[in-house]
Amino acid sequence: MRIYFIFRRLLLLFPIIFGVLVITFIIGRVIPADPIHLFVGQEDDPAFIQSLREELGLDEPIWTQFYCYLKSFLKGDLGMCWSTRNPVTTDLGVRLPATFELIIVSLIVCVVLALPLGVLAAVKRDSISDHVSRVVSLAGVAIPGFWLGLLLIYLLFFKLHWAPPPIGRIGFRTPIDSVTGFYLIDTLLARNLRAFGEVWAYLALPVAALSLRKLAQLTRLVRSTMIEVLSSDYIQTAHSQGLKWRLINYRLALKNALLPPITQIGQMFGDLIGGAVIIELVFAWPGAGRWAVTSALAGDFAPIQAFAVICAVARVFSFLIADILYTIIDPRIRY
Amino acid sequence: MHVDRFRAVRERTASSWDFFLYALRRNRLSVIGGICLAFIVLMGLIGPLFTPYDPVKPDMASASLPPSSEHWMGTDPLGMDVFTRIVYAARIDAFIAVLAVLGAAIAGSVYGVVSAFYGRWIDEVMMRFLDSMQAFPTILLGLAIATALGPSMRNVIIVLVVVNFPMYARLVRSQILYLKEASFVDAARTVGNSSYRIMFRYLLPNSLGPVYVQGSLNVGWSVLMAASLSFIGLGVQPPDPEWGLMISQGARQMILGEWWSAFFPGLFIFLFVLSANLFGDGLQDVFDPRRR
Repeated sequence: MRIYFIFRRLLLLFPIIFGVLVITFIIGRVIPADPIHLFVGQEDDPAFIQSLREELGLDEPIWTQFYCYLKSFLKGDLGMCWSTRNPVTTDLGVRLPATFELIIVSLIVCVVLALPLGVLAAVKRDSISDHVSRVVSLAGVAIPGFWLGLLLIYLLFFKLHWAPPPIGRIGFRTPIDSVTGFYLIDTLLARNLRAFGEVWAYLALPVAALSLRKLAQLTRLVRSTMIEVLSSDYIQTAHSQGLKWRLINYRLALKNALLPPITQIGQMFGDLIGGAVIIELVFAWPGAGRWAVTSALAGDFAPIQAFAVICAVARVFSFLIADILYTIIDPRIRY
Repeated sequence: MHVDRFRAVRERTASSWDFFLYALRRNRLSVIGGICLAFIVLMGLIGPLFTPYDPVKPDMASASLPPSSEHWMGTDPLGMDVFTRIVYAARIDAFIAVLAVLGAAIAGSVYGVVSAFYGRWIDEVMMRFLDSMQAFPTILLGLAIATALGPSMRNVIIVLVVVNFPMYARLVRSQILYLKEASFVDAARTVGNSSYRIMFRYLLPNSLGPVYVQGSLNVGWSVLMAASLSFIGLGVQPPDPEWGLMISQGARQMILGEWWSAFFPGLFIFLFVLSANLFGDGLQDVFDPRRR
C-alpha cells in the first residue's frame, strides 16, 4: 500500500518538475528584452556575442529553444558559468556540500531546540517560559537574518573575540583533505579533532543567524498543536490513570503533536536554502548560494538558474519524504 | 439555507466596524503594533521636514561619524546622515510593501477565481503551475526574476508580486470552490448574469475576508524580502535610501567596529516587520471567526 502511494507520488513529480523548467525558461528567455545579456557576463565583443547567440540557439523560434533547453537538461547540461569557464554542474558540485552542511546543521538545531521548547511552552502555558518563547518567536520572525548575522559578527567576533572571523568554513592555516566536501565528516575521517572543533566554531554564527527564524516558527507550531493534543480525551484519560507527566507529554502527546510540524520541517528545507543564499554572503561562506548570487550580479544567469532548478527539485523531494514520514508516524493515515 | 447563511454573514459584516474596534481593544499587542506601524509610516511621510540633511548627497568631510547630537544615528562611510536616510527609506520600503501586497492580492484573487470557477482541466493546469512556482525557494525564484529583469525598485515590486500571488490564488480558490455551489450563484445565473459578472460581482467579493488577513500578514514579509533583495544588490540601487541597501553599505564597516550605519536600518526593518505582524495577528482575530 505504501509502495503504491510512493510510486504515485513519484509520478506526480513529473508535471511539477516540467513546470519548474517551464518557469525557469520563461524567466531566462521570455522576460528579458534580449536574453543574450544574461549569458555573456562581462564579455562585449560583438563577434563573440553573435557566435554565442547562434550556439545557444537564441535566434531560433521560442518553441525550438524550449525543446533544446529540455533536451540539454535531460542530458544533465545546465549551461556554462562564464566567470569560472566551467560547466555549471561542475561548479555547483564543488559548492553544494558547503551549503548543505550549513543547512543540515541548521535544520538539526531547529528541530532539537524547537521540540522541547514548544512542549515546555505548551505544558506550562502562560508561565514565564511560555511568555519568553512567545517574545522570542515574534522577534525571530521579524529579524532579518543577514542583519542578525552582522550583529553576531560585531558582538562575538569584533567585541568579544569568541567567534572566528567571518571568512568561510575554516581558517586559512588549517589543512583539510576534502573527501566528501562536508568538513564535519572530512575532519572526523582524518581523525583531526582540532580541525573538527574549528569547523564547528566557524559554523556557529551562520547557523545561529540562519536558524533563528525557522526555530521561532517551529516552536510556535509545536506549542499550538501540543496544546490541542493535551486537551484531548485520551490525554485526560492518561492523567486520570496516574501516568507520569514525562511519559504523557513526550510519549503519548508529542507523537500526535508531531504531525503538522513534520510538514513544516519538510518545507523548512527549502526556506533554509533560500535563507542560506544571503547568510553565505554575510559570512563569505564558499557555498552554492553565494556563487549563484555573485554570478548573477556579474550578469551571469546560468548559475542561478541551475541552482534554482536543483533546489526546486530537491524541495519537491523533501515534501515527498515528509509525506512518507507522516504515514509512518501516524498509521491512521492511508493514501 | 445558503441564502440565510450569507445574509447572516452580510449582517455581521455590516456591523463589523464596532466589532473591529472591540476586537482590537481586546488585543493590546496588535494595537501597539498598529500604532508603531502608523508611526513609522508617518515618519516616512512628514519626517523629511524635520531633518536638515540631504538623503543622497555624500559629504566626505563627515564620513563614518558615530552617533552624536548632530547626527543621531551617525553617518555612513559616504558621510550621509543615517537617520535622514532611514526616514526617507521608510517611504520607499512602505511603498514597495503596500504596492507589492496589493498587486499580489489582486493578481492572485483573479487567478484563484478563474481557476475555481471554470474547474476541471483548466483548474488542474492552473494549479499544477502554482505547484511548480511554489516548488522554488521564494528567495531563489525572486533572485532569478530580479536578475532577468535587472535591479530597480519597480522590478522589486514585480518580483514580490510574482512570488506572492500563488498564496492568494490558493486562498481565494478554496473559498470559491465552496461558494460556487451556493444557491445565490444559481439564482444569479438564472436571471441571466454572465460568467464574468458572476465571478467578479458575486463570488469574488464574498471571498475576500481571508485575503485581507493574509495581506496584512504579508506586508512585513514583503519588507523583509525587499530588504533582502536590495542587500544582495538586486533591488533598490544606490544612492536611493532603502533599509536593506543601507545595511549592505554598512556591513563592511560593522566588521571594523563602526556598528551604527548597519545597525539602525536593521532595527527599523525589525520594528516595522514586528509591528506589521502584530497588527496582522489582530486583524486575523477580527476576520477569522474560529479564533474569536
